[in-house]
Amino acid sequence: MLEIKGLRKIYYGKLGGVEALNGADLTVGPGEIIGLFGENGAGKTTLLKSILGFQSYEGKVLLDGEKINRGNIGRLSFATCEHSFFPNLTPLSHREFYRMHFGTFRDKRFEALMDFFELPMRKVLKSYSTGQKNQFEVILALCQGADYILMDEPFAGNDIFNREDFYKVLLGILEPQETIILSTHLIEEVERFVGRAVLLRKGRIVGDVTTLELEEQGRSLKEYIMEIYGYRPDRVNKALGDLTDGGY
Amino acid sequence: MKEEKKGKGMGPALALWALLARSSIYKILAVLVLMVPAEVILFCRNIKTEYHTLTTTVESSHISVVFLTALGLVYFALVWTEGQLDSRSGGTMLRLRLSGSRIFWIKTAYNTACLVLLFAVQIWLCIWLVGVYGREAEEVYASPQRLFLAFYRIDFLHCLLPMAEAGKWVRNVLLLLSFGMEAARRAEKTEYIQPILLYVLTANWFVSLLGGNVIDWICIILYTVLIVVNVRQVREKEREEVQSNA
Repeated sequence: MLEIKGLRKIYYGKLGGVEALNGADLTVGPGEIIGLFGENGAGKTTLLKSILGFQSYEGKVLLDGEKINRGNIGRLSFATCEHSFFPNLTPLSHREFYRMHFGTFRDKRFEALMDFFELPMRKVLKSYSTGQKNQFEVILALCQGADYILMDEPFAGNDIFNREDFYKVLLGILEPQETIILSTHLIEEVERFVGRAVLLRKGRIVGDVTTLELEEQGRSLKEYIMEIYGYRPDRVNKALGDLTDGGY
Repeated sequence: MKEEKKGKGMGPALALWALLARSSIYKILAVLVLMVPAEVILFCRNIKTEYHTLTTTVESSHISVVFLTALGLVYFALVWTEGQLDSRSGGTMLRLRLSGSRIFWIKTAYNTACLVLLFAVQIWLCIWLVGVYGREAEEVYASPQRLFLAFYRIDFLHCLLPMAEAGKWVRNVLLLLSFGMEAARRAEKTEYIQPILLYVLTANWFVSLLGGNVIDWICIILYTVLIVVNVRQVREKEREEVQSNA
């Protein structure tokens, strides 16, 4: 169980502090697939990086009741569009490195996914295309053998077919104890894939709903998010109308 | 059982060592591949010029300049590579089972080994060049003690391999360690002034006169301060990590 209690993060700059997270509370159980949604700057990346301990924060992040440290951080893996692999290594070298550092590395899954996405094993990653790099980043996170797989916009730059393939493969290979927290803007695309949606706004968790609850209410995830954010679909027409009336 | 435990502990450290090697060893080897022929050409061109003594040949061929340039290239290759490694893959480094201080010591050991390799190649090359001189130079300059004397009479060679001068040995060991540590802690520092300053001072002061002198002592103090500061900062960080995990 991953518990986040009163998580607060302020980034200090020349013009003062910016509150990226403002008392976020979240509990994630094993086997869940969670979509983390929010506008740019809502605090999604900050939340994921705080969970991983990449930055200091106020509040608590507990993994099965314990603080996250060098001893248990191997139970978390991370895939990010900024990429966290080593660009000078080949996938083969990564496999060796991960095997050494994470005793739970899933060899079979690694080979199967590399085959499926037709990624060359002996090519250094810096010579991969952006799409291939994204694929490899996700493959590494899935194969580390972690219980909690955190993903931050992992498919930015991949085409729709590629992303669809990934969602299907993910649903097919995940084991019951494997949990995914996926931060993304692709709401409609991941609606069928996630089991729970968590909404962030200005550093606060403003919505938390399961897709089953939404189904029962007869609402789509997009509608739910629009409602929570108070998004007015007519605002574009109104703005265009105002601009046209203004002589444009 | 004990062996199994030890193996488990060494594996991640070796994997990190291999990662560092894969990221920078080709750059280091490229510097060596450029340095060796450059020195050979410069030295051989000067053997049969007007003044034929070994000392004048070594000094006029400027092999010390080539070596110090190579030292700078190797050092900055390590600084740059490790900075890149941490900025691009810092998240992965933070998720390893190895503690921050252990990563620091592995990186320091690797960097120091690269610099030792550079020194070793340079010393080997100097011995070989002295041999070449013996074959090529006129008899009047030949001496059976040539190699031994070269490392006493020629300042650059003596600074590389200080023979019985303990002070220079201490200086060289501290130089290697401080350079290794500075490169290892690159990711945590944002400015490049410190490594540049360290290199410029070293390049200026490396070739010093035989026997203990003020410059050697200044170097020893400078390197010692850097080493102590780096070790203290790493320990402090480790203490913070332990406290935050408690």
